[in-house]
Amino acid sequence: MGFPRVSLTLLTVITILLGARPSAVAADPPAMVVIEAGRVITATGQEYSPGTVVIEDGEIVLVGTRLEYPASAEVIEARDLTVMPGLTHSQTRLDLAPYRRAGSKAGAQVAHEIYPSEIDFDRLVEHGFLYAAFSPAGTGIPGRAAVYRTAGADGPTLVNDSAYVRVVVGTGSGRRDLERALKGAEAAIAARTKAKEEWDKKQAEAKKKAEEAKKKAAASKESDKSKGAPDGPPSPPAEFVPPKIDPNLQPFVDRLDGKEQDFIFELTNATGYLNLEAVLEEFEEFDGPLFLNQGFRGADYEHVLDRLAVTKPLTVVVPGLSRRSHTINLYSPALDFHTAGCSVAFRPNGDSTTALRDYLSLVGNVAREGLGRDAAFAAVTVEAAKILGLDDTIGTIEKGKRADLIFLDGDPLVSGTKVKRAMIGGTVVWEAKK
Amino acid sequence: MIGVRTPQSRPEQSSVEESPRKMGKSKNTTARLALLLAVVAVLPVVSAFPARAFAQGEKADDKKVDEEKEPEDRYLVIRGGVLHPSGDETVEGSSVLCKNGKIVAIGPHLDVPEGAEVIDADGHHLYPGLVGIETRSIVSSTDLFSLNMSLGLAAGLTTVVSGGTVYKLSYGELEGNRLGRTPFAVIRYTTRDPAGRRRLRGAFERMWKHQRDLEAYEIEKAKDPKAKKPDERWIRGDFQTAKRLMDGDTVALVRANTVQEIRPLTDLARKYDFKLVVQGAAEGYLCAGDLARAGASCIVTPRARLDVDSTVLRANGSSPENAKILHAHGVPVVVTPSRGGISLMGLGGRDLAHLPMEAAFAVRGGLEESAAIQSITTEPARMIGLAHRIGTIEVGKDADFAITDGDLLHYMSLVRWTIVNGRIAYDKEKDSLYNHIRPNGDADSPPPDDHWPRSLGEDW
Repeated sequence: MGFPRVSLTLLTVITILLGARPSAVAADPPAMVVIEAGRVITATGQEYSPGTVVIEDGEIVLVGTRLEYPASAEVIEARDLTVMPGLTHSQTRLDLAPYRRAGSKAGAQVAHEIYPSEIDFDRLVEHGFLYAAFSPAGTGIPGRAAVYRTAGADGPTLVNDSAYVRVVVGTGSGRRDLERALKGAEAAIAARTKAKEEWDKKQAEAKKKAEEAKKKAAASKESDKSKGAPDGPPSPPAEFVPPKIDPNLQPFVDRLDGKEQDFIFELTNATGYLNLEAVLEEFEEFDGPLFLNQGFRGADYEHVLDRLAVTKPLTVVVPGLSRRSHTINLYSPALDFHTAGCSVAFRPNGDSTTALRDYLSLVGNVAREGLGRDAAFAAVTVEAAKILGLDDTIGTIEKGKRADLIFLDGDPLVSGTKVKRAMIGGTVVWEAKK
Repeated sequence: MIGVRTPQSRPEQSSVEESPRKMGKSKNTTARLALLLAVVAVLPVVSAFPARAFAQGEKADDKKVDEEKEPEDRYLVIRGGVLHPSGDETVEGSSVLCKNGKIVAIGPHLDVPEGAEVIDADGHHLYPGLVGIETRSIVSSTDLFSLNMSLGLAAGLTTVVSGGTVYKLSYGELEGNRLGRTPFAVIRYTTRDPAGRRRLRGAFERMWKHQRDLEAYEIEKAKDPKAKKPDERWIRGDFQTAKRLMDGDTVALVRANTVQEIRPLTDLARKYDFKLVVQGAAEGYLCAGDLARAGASCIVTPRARLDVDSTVLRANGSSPENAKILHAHGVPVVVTPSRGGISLMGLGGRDLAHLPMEAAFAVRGGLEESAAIQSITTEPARMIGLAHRIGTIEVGKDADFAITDGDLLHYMSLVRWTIVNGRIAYDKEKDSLYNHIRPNGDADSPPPDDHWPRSLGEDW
């Protein structure tokens, strides 16, 4: 009697599962949700203790201390917890197959190589990462990233399948790849303009001809009405078909056209920055966050710090210490860039459990060394969200932003603090195991 | 057997009348002759009439300033010191004025333009920047801040060849980093690969026939305008290499050490009239005449050793006199260390960071000092086809210098400054590599306190 028993067990499991996650099956979240928290970190430079966050239809409407709200609102008690915006992982390869691409492959999309069922999104959620950009691996221009919301009532969701284009520039062929792509995009645009001009010319000529034919026909009609061979209706003008553009150049063409397309520039060393600057000199439209990799022997960005201080890009670094090149001296790269006047965003050092777990406490170290709490919180939330192009909707706790928040059991910047709950759109979708 | 000749009377310079077959090469030879004459002509002018050189330099300057006032003009003046313009003679008490990376004037009483960087090189020696040729992998040449680049600059190197491309060691500057491709076509022609030799020989033979066919076609065309041009679609691969070599577009770079390997090569080069560079050439001194007759150049490593094979019934094995004998036969000699790149593992300084030391070993074998200096400056510059830009200190050339605190080939000498494209790329006192050794030129002064671990203080 195996069959009924199995199905019964399955049913029980499903029931238990559903019961354990009541919010996961809740059909409609209540219109107004209020979080009563021990502390609210807005990541805009303010901290409320105690703090209240009022959420309506998944959007934050009010944040402050001891706010009044209607009695009908659902209150989430979190008086022993700290609430802050969810973290953003700007470059992950979690559980992805190690496909590496080289050369100019901006047409490739990571979204096409992801099978969400294979990815353990919970590992990201349990360390507070509510958004993650799955980044293409390789060198040169390996492709476009895919942005996922790691949790939600319906599970992880693909937010953007063609997020930033990753461009790696160092001392090698990356510069050449970028140069070729940019020149190729320019040529493609020129070809398109030329084709359009020719088409316009042809259209004008055709119009002229048609009119002439009409006149002739009218004249001939007048001359011999007896024959009376009427002209057919004029054929509709053929639509302009722009010449095909290489999909690997498409993102570059889009950016040159002024369309929305993000780029990130990943550097391997100071020379990489000089190379990037030299290439982008002619292309002012192109900018994007700089991912400043530290490399095996330590980084040497101090050589280009004065240049960074002028251009002030968004610099993306791993929290923690790095070695000054060719020395045994340790320093904090984030502090260097912050002092130079660049805005700083952090990213975890890879996808290992250790890297994800220690991320915030390492950021805390940098904050204590001189970055400051406010800049540190901004660097892990809203600045990191900028890389994904989501800083309009997430990243801070202020009016109009999505209520994608995390609840922690202490100061986020202190080692040992754990994420207890995750909220997406005003609904608690994940809770830590007791 | 070995007639010692001065560099001015090298046979290659009088090879114009040698044989009508060498017409293709004669152009190049005259060009070389003209260049050398120019060098020879400029030197006395600079030394004997420095005021004239100065006047010319200033005149050229004034013109430009009149045309457009560029505030970004970059001036560098190197004052005093002993000038070694091209290795063979020295000029004292003169200054060098560089503008935007080029040498614009050499003379004793130069006006220093406003805002110019001034190096007081009194008591120092001024050499053209050293050229490291055929370095298989100086990975650092594209990483503008790497330790290897600093090490190369600290050795006086300003130009290196890396993987078929010529780079300047322009520390921290992208501008002027890449100079271009080398003219070399690397070919293999070894006794170990008889089939490969046959194939290459065949390619040359067929190309030679093709050239005759073309000549015949030209004559035919004059008579009959409808004459059919010989097919050229098959010229690919080995044939293409052979064609480019015979047209003088490229220079054959071949690794060959023994007489057995060198002789067939020189024969081939003479028969098909192409330019040849023999790398290694450990037994070159045994067939120096052949090499000279073929117009070949050699890249030698004076410290490389080739053991004597006692089963061979003729003189063989390497000799410390190799460079000297080759030079005496008029074969252009370029010195390179046994390890191509810069590596701290180069035991006893056998890597590119010790290029002058390698040249000094050629001097130990009898090579004149001037020729030894030329073998790491002028000759390699000429070999990679950049003699018009680098290799000597002359007005109009790139401002690349190695400024040492003593004779370049002396084992005690250290590079004090290295100038690349008119910029100070290395300053011994500012770089931590060697600043603890004889700081400020004073052998007795103590090393800097904070220098760990290279100097360990008095307690040690």
